[in-house]
Amino acid sequence: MRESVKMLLHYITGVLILITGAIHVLSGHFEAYGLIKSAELYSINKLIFLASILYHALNGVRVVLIEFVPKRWFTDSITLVLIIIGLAFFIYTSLLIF
Amino acid sequence: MSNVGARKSRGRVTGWLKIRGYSIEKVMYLVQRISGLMIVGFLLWHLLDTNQAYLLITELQILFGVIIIFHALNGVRLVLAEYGFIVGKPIRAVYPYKFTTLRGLQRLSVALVIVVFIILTAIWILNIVGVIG
Repeated sequence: MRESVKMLLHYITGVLILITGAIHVLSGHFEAYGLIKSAELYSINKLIFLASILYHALNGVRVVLIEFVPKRWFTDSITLVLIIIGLAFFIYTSLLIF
Repeated sequence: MSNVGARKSRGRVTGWLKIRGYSIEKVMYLVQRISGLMIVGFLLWHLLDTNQAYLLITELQILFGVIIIFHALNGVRLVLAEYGFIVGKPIRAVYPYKFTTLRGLQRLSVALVIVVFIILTAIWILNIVGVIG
C-alpha cells in the first residue's frame, strides 16, 4: 500500500472516530434521556469506533517510529508488528463487546 | 536529490521541539504529536482495564478530555489543509517575499481551533467539576 493511501485512510478513520466517538461518549446520555435505546446499534457503533481508532492510533505510532528510524527493513517490520498488534486488540476487544 | 536535510532530522525527538523561528503551526504540530501519543496510552488503558476505575480520578478525566478535544479539532484543520481547502493561493516569488499560503484561511483556522478548544475545554471542566450539566 502506498504511503498516500495509508494517510488517506488515516484521515477517513479520523473523521469516523469523530462521529462514532461522539456517539460512544454520549451514549449514556442518550439512554438516560430515552432518545435511542438499542444495544445492538451501540455495539455496531462501538465496533466501527474500535476498528477506526485502532487503525488511526497504530498508524500514528508507525509514522512516529519510522521517522526515528527511516530504514527500509525497520519500516517493513514495524508495519507488520503493528498490524499483528492491531488485529490482536481488535479480536480481543470485540469479544468483550459481544 | 541531496540527502543532507533528511539525515539531519533523523533519529531525533528534538526536531519536534524546535519551535523558535517557526510559525505557530509548528507548535500545533508538536502538541498534536504529544497529545496523539498520550491518547494511544489512554486507549490501551481503556481497552485493557474493563473496570475503568481510572475514570473516578477527576484530574485524569479532565486531562484526557482536554487532549482529545485538542487532537480532534486540530485534526480537522489538518485534513482541510492537507487537501488544500484552507491553503492560500500561491503568488510569484518576487522580493519582498510574502508567505501567502500560510495567510488568510489557514491562519484564521488556527485561531478558530484555539478559540473553540478554549470554549470546549471550559465546558468540559465545568461539567466535570459539577458547575454545569
